[in-house]
Amino acid sequence: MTVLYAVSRDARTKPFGPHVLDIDYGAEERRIETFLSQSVARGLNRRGVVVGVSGGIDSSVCVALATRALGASRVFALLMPEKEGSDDAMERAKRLCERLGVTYAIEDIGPTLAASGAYARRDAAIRQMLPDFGPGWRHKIVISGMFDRARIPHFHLVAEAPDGIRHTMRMPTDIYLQVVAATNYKQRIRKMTEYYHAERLNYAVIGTPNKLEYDLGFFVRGGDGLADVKPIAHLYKSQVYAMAAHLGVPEEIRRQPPSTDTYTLPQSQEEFYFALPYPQADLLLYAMNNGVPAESIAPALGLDLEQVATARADFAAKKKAAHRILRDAILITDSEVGAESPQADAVQ
Amino acid sequence: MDAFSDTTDELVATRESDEKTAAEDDVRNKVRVYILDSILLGTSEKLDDGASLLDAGILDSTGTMELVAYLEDAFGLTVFDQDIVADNLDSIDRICAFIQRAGKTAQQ
Repeated sequence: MTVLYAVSRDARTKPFGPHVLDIDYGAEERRIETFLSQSVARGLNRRGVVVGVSGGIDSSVCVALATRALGASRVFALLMPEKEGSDDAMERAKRLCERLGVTYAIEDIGPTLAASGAYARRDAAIRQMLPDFGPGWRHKIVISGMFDRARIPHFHLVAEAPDGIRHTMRMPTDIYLQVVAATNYKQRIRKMTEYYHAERLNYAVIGTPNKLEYDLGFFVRGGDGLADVKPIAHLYKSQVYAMAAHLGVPEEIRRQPPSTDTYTLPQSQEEFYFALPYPQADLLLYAMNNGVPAESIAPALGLDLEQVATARADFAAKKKAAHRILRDAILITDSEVGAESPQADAVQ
Repeated sequence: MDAFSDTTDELVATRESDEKTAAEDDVRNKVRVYILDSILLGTSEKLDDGASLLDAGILDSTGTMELVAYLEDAFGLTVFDQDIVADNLDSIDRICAFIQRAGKTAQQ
């Protein structure tokens, strides 16, 4: 029998578990750096890279890898705060850029967001559910119904009034869509700003998704999904953390839990999107990508078989959505307009 | 007379059952038209009453929430969080059975 997930000797002897993600980070670092310098110089014919640095783990690893690959003088970092983002994250981003010796600019995207109506459109949508919502309130969106019988995922708004009282309400579709659409201005305006600097400098734009985000569509079309080169889109989130340690990314960045830093209440990525903490989500995705059977996945994830089936179905749906977010516009010359993934199918 | 009244009872029962079937057909038709017109935008699509709408990629999570809003509006139901499960919403058959159950619960 072929053991599809046998990436190392351990994988054959140990039951399926986090060790399947173990890689040689020194070799991987060199591989990514070669890839980056070659794709920027030859594939894209650009003179350097622009990276949006958020203070989170993914963009920190990307800017560190780019600095090693191209030299600090060919990396331009952009810090793009807005009034609802984390000040601490921006401070961490600033300290990282200074430590790496890269040039950085701070672009406050708040006024552009306000002028585009991003905050006002979002708040107007929320007020349809919660008429009192306004200044002083904080909010986030959480995903519900993932592992509770075969529930279909749906979204709740959690809003906290200035007096600290929390309201949790299921979001009607039109309100949910408007809140997300308005909030996505943040990712799109950041990307516009990155391209302004990239074109000004004749640089390429680095996209910072890890494999979990890339495969499962955790990005905005025309926003953080848009880039010229994505150097860590093949690394699972746990591998990004390990790479960060290997590269000497400061501990103050490595010990932060993954956050969206998009809504005004603290929000983890799993409560908004993945529904599983990233070490489990990594393993599930790895298992799906490598044909690991449910019987091996369940004990590794601490889930029962029914929960594994539900989670796999959810991830499969997210993979489809990821393809829709990434794909080029459909042309009349595409033979099958209804086909979900003609290129991907061909590769498989 | 006894025989006659038996027949009347049967007739009444038959009529009630016919009406019930007609009402069920009406619900089924409304659901089918909603999915064909609002979700599939009128593109011709073979839609089997028992087929999984999720597996066929006809309903995604946003589509499911749109369907829930439609069911609440069109049939006066309250769909609770715990009702948003594949067992209730994943095919035309399941949706119709759910509408019946939810309608009965609401009347109680």
